[in-house]
Amino acid sequence: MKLSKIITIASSILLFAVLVGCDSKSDGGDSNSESASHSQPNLSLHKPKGFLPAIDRLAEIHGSLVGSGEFPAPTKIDYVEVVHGEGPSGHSHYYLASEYESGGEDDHHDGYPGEHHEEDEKVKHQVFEIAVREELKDVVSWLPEIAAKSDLGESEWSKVSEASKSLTKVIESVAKDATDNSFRDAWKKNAEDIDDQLEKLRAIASPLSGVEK
Amino acid sequence: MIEYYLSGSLLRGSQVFIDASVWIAFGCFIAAILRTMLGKEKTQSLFGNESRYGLLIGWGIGMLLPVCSLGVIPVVRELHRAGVKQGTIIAFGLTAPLFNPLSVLYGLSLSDPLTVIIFSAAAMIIVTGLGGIWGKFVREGELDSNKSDGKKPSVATSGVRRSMAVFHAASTEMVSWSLLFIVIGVLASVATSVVFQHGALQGETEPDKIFAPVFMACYVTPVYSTPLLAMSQIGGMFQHGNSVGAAFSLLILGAGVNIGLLCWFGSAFGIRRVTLFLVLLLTMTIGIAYALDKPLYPEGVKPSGHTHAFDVYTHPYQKGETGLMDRAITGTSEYVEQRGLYGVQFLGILALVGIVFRLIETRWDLQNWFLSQVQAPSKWDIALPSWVIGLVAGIGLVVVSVFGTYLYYPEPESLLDDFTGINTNCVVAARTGDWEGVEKWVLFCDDLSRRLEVGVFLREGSVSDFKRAKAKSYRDKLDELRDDIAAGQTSRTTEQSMELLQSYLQMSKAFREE
Repeated sequence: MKLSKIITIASSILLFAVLVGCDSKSDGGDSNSESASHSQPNLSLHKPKGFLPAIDRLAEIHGSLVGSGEFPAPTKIDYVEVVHGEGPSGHSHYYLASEYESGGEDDHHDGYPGEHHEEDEKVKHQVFEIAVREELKDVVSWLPEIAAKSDLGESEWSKVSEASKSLTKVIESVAKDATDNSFRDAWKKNAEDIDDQLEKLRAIASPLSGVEK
Repeated sequence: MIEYYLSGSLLRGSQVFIDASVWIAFGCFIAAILRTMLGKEKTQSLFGNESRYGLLIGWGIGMLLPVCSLGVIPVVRELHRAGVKQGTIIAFGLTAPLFNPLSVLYGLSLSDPLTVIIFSAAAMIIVTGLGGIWGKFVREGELDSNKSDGKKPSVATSGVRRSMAVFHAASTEMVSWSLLFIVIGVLASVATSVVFQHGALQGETEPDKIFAPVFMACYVTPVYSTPLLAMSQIGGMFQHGNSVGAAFSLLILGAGVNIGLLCWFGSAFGIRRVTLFLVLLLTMTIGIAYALDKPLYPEGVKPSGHTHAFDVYTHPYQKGETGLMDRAITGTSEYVEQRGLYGVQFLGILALVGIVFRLIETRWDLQNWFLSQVQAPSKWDIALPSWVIGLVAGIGLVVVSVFGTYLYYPEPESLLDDFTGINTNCVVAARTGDWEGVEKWVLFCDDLSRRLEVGVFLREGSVSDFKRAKAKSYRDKLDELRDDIAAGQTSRTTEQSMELLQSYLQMSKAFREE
């Protein structure tokens, strides 16, 4: 048995795999890089808080896309990054700035279970920036998940899921690297269908008015 | 400092032992059936010694038998004793802890089924690849096939003594060298856990961590994980957008191996060969992990920045906290309450009987007495050869594990009856500021919500997207509550507890309605 030969081959395969892995990482996980001028985590801070706000946000983006004004600017959201620990095992928690409660000097994490101690904590105030096209894609894909948090029954929820798939098809029909203007043109071509879908979503959501926050 | 390590070792050691006990007992009985009912020739034949498909047979049998990486030790020792090809032993020894009917069903219902199928196929490539390389480069004649036990196995003939022979073999196996390797596996797992601070792995499996699959592979190799725990963690990793490559490393090396099993491989096949085996196993696992990392990454999932899924593999407490030993004792008794002591009791009785048999055997040859005498059959008896009984017993074990699957994943109506009370405990703990209570009940609730989905999948063959969405929505609420409390963000706890209750009611309604 040629032990050294096998180990050499094995190590080469491993090195190749790691290099391929590095490349795949640099390709993926940067969906916001088009919109952000600096490196930022792939967050979901722009996720609407309920089904009605989600439809409102979609309608708002739709309105600005079919309108004649400038292409909508990226959405900016203030957030707080709380970093626990340092080095490779360090990790972050993210909060909307409006929802983050900063602790007092002495009592911040005392008495709470788990792993977070004040001495390991750094709080950073940041701005999350996301392109409208990216936001649109995310909100559409989140529709079923957001609707599942409401009181909708299965048949209504299925309609939401169908609407989400239908809108996703429109978004995906435009190449990712297409310019904003091409995207806008393609969106306008489907404006009637999109209006119908938004109308259907509003009809499904109407019984929730007053119930959902 | 001593209290810090002792308390962590006590809790983590108890958890590993409680989780593993029933699988170890299964392993002893499987080994006993192979030894006393099938015998050397039939065992070799079953595992395809004369066939070119031995590796695939080892993989296939491994998929069906319910053992973990500790419980497989008595079985691989028996296969070695019976002279099964080493490549096949390796294929079986690595596959059996990875998958069993319970864990595969769990995985199928929690992740994309295609992912579980691809993971299974990739595992097959690794184990058969390793077995194949072993078979090609290691000549069987080089090794002493009976190194681990000097006794020659014989086959039981018939009657009550045959059953006694199985019980004798299983119980004495429990107090044989297998025990040493099992203890090594447990100690190594506990030592690894307590060395790493609580929560040290929370940021290690994010998709932007390039070396997540490598780190996970190295970290979980000494750590013990049951197939079910690994599969549930993998499901959680997909839902939280963690590294897919790290999930694969966790499955193969977390559930598949432990230091005890590797030590046995070392004692049976030699340190040099096992070093080679480990290098190849790590290389193949990490290589495939990177190959799967990007293609299988779930669409539309945003990583949350951290995960609590691997907290169980780190120290349970923070340095500097007080009263750790008391908390460890309380934690252990709560774990016993949650999991039950049946497996430990069964294993304890087995070990006790084994010790008694060993003591008797210092004066009388029980093995010979059990196996050599043939009972005169009555006219009502149908004489069945031992290998038939052995096969039926083996299939019976598989059937029992399938039956156990149905018990573990009950019908939604039945599970929700218990679930309602547990969810209420969680809500009450959050409203009354009982943070440790929340941390505890959230884990229960999370597990039950997953079992709810599996229960439906088991009976109906699929789970509707609506039910999946409701269960996920509920778990999101649990995560949010736990994370905010752990980070000291408690101003919304009352509101969150009500949202949790609301989400539970919606999920419950969805699962109760057909």
